[in-house]
Amino acid sequence: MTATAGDTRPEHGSPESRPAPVHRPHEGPGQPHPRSLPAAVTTPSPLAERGNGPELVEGPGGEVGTGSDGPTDNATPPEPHPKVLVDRLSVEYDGTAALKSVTLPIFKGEVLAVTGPGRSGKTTLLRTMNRLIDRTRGAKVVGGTVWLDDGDVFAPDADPCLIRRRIGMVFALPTPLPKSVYDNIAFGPRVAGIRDRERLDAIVDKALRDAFLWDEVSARLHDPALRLSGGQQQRLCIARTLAQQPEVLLLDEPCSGLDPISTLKIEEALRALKTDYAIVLVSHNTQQAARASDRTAFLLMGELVEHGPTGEVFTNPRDTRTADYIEGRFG
Amino acid sequence: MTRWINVEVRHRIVVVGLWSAAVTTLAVLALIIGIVLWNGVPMITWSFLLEGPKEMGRAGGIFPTIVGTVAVTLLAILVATPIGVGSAVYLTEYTSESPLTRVIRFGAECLAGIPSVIFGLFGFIFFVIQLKMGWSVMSGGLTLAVMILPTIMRTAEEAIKSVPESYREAGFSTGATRWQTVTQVVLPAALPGIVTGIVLGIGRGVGETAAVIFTAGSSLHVPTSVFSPARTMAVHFYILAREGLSMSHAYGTAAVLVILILAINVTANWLMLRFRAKST
Amino acid sequence: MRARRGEVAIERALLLLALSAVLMLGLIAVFIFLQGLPIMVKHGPGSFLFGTRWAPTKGGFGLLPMIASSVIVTLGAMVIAVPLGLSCAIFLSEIAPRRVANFVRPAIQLLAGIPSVVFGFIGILIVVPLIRNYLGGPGLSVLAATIILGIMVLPTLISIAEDAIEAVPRPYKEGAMALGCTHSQAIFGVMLPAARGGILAAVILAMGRAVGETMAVIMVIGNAAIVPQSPLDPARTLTSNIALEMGYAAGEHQQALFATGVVLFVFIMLLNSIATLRVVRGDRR
Repeated sequence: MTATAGDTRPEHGSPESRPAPVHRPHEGPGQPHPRSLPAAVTTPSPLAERGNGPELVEGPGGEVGTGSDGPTDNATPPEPHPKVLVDRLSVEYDGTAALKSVTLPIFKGEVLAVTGPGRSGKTTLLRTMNRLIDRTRGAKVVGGTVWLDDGDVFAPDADPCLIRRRIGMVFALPTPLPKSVYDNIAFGPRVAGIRDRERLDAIVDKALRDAFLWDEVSARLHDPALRLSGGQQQRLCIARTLAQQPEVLLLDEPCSGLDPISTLKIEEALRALKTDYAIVLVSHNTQQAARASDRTAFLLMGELVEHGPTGEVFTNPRDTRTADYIEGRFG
Repeated sequence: MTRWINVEVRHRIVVVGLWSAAVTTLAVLALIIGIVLWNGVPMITWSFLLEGPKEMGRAGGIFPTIVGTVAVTLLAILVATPIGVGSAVYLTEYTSESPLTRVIRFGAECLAGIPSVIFGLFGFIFFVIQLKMGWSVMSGGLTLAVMILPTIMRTAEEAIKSVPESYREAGFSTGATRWQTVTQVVLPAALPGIVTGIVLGIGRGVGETAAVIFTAGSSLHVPTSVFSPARTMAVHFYILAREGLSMSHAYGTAAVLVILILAINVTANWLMLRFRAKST
Repeated sequence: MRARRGEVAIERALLLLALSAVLMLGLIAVFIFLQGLPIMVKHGPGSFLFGTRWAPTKGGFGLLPMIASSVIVTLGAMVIAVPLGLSCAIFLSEIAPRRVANFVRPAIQLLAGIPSVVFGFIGILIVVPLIRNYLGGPGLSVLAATIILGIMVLPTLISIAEDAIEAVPRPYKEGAMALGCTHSQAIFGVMLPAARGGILAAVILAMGRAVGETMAVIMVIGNAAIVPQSPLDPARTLTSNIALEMGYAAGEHQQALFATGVVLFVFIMLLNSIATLRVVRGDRR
């Protein structure tokens, strides 16, 4: 019986060992959203200062660049107020910088692709958003923070469990729990305290349909989830995440290792889901990013090189590094 | 050329020597089990198992000792399992390596090395006398619990460590608290390994004599409550053998013990195989 | 925040459970010492450790015969167990084909599971008469105890030594064999020396088990509280001293038995600590 690789230890140090951000009230049900946006949003972003063209980080009523000439269907314009705001976020692993002052808004109603070569910090970015980074030993947030609906995710009184419930995550390799299909999906709601069988049934039903998995598993809801195929397991994980009724969906290379058909099915699901969620799709596969997203962000070695509507980033990137990566000159 | 042949010959001799060591060990095992079963199995009849002893064990059966064994061992498991599994959960899920965890592990290692007779002394002075439990199933069971605690801790920790990290991440990313993840994801996945540890603990408890004889006593009555004294099969066997009361009954008791241990070992091994198959 | 508070409570409760092992260890030490030390202090530890007359009802608390017997019996058991056990360990990790190893290993575990009273019984039935008939003496002797104990500690020694040998990195052995060694030369010349930290730990832990063994020893050693002059003499170990008289001891006699426990406890702790330190140092290699 050998221990598997991977850390099981909680990281106690991270929230305390960085400069304290502007304090925001604890985000919870029934609490009013503060009217004003955090200071970071109203001051022009560093990217704007470089004269990089119209930016997306503006106050309510500000215009967002439309990406409707891109390949993705963009019938509903994204909301102007970011659902999640990554605010000058810097993260280090044992002293090595993984993210360098990244500022990135994420809006409901669109899919944001985060692309870049390996070791760019894409996964770190996601894991910081839902505070899964707490569990990585040696990881420290050394600057900036993440705002979820104007609540500071790293506030001292913030509840990581609540944050993780509101921000759902799908991993690169399917991670079905060793339970039945039904119990996998019902796991999130049960953890949140929902016990009523009818309600659970309804949630499981909707989650499976939204993940485009219902047809394939409706007859075997109580079979072990581990018996599903890779593509089905990954959609199961998406369904499980949907079942916890999050507001944000983070997908970290969800289609790596999957066949093209499963990949297409997942991309189809994302297209249908984006109206109700803010979706972040990490993919080093630039073609998938181009296919499946409305906006794209390019991360390179921890630095956010640029971000914008997918069509623009791919056809007319502002930075030569972006152009090089997209055209496959490195990566 | 000759020198090379000599070296090869020496290697062959070494290999033969190593094989004979293994064969010798197995032969000893076979001898022990063979003698006990050969002489003892004929004694095992329904009346032997279900009747009480007569004439201090020279005749009759061993029923009260079977009850005694079950009672004491069951109590030990009921006490040691939550403590052992809880400790293992704490060590793996709630802390990282620190002086505290080293102290805890050192304590468990030392506890594992303490001779059973010292446990007997301790159990006697602490449970029987100090806590006034008297010679009873309670005293015996609690003493045994302390004895098997390290075994359960060790196997539980290994089992929990083997649960893939992806399960935990899946649990956490759904918003589960650490306790929820532990109870609903990690422990169910680690269950076969934990149960193996429990089974091994039972095996130790069943064969234990020195710790039990000074704490549970040696009364031949069927224990009626946890505060009644009791005699376990191992103790009964010891008394029969030492006092020379009845060779045949001694053999019979020994045979029951050995068969029980065999069954326990086979179960534990089967569980380990199943556990390994599941986690690969 | 409510969930958080519950979580903190759970963590504290689990910490308490985790400390229980250490707590129990401390409790055991405290009670044994509480009962055993006063009488040692009263009559002087010297009379316990070096006295040769054990007559506890008459003020004779000499443990030297028992200490000597324990040491002799343990060392003798090692003489049997180390060659046999080490050979089995090497066999299992290096020589045995997988199928054979998968059969032998559970068998050795089974040997470990056999109650010590059964070992003692077999000793009485077979070993003691053999000694009595072919070597002389009463049969109930140091030799009998040595043999039985040697067999009993085999599983402990084998499993820890096997782990130590398995832990030697493959390249050590393969490098040696690439240079032209035979397999056994590689084993004895390279792997065993590399594993010697763990093997030593195995031996020391086995010794600890031997010193602590009670029931089997009582049944075959004869229980005469004298310093044995030959392997055929009966004797009495520290453990049998306690177990034999605990049933009827009272007052100072009982305290004297606890004092025996103190000596035993200290001895085992020393052995365990050496083994643990050794393993740590071995790992750092």
